[in-house]
Amino acid sequence: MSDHRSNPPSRVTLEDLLRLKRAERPPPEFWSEFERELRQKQLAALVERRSWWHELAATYGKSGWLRLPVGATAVLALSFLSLRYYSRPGGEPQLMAGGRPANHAVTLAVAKPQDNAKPLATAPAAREPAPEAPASASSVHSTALASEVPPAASGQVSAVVPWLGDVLENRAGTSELTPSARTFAVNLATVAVIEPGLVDALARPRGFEERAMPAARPRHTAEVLPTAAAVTEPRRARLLASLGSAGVYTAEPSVPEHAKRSVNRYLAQDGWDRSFSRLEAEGDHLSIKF
Amino acid sequence: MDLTKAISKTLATTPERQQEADADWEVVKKVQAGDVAAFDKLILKYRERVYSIIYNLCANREDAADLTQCTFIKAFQSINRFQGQASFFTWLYRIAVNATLTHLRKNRLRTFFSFEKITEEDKSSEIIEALTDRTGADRETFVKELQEKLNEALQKLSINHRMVVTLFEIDGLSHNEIAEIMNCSVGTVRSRLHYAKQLLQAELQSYLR
Repeated sequence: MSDHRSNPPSRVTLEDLLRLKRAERPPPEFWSEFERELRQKQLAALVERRSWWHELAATYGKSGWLRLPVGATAVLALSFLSLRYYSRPGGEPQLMAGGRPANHAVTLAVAKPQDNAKPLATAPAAREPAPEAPASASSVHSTALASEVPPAASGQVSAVVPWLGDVLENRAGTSELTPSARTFAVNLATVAVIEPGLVDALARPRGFEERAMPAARPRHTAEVLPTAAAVTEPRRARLLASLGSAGVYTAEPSVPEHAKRSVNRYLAQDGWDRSFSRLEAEGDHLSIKF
Repeated sequence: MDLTKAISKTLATTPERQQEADADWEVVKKVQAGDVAAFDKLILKYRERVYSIIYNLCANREDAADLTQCTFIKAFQSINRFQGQASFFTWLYRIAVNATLTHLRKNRLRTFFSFEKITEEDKSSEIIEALTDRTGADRETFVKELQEKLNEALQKLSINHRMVVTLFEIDGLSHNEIAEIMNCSVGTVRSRLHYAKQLLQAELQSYLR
């Protein structure tokens, strides 16, 4: 040691300085702690479940001879599916036209509206895969089914779902519907026969429908005015008094007789059409301001 | 091209390294055959070297310990994929380097340094002696200051440059081995090393007289 100290290097190079970094070593006790922690982590890694893609990648990586055939099959399958999907008009998948959904509609025919013992067609039997039935046969069957929907029921159905009601009234077009639409129509018709009250309840707007589309319901002055009057009580009293004396404030949205008379008189005059200033369309209302 | 690469690699590999690689491959085959305990031999053999690389790259002893453990766990988990095409230590170093790179990139903004003490051996002692004699400073204070300056200078380098310097100057790997670990050409390794040394020289000028 003293020999080394007696002959220190005359010049310190960068390599010498970096060599000092080699001498930065942990103490021996560090390694016992390291060992203990490593064991714990190894055990934790054994218990930890690896994700399925890791397993898949490992399996796929191991079996090198499988790579080419599996890859080629995947590409072929993807191309076939894409071609099959996009070659159909409107890109409608094959499943919607034939096969199971059509059979679904056929099964519905068993639960006819006349049969009160089997009220709904969404019974488990409908979910069971029906035996092989050609798509054309099933569509004929469902057309026949649609023609069995009673006219009264179709009216009620139209109250619930307007576009379905139109379809039921124009029965010839029913076969052009998708199987799910047919199912929906038949089910509603069945419900209309068995539980007319239920269809009425369904037809009533509620919840979101009521909030989101207020224009769809008739406006009653009686409902609007109290809301406005709630802002200030004196104003409310004044408004109610003036409307009451004029006979405008009614619970029903009927037009008073004197108002009808004045409108008729006004419309009978020549050039009335030149005097109106504004045409307003709001929801299902069309209003003209004179 | 591959053949040339393989020949140059074989020529560049020293007989000691080759022997070491063969011995490691035997142990690895045992582990692959189900003798899990044999992996402990590999841990004991390489833990200090792996720790040293990681420590010099991230300059934090706690992170280095964690990353060293992670490296061995990863190596153990994927030992069945090791085919013996490269030497085991190159493969293990690559895992360590990748883990460290990921860690450094994730924690780019968080840098805490914690250093190991310099173990004074013959060579390091000589260098420290030469430096303290010249400055006349207190030995212990001087060593601490030098250690800090060295780490600062290394941390100023980019990750790739730091890695080349660490692997070549501190761990004593050859250019070929570094190229294999870092997955780049030997020329790139040489140019990176040259550039990194220039930067370090400028940073540590006050100590190099």
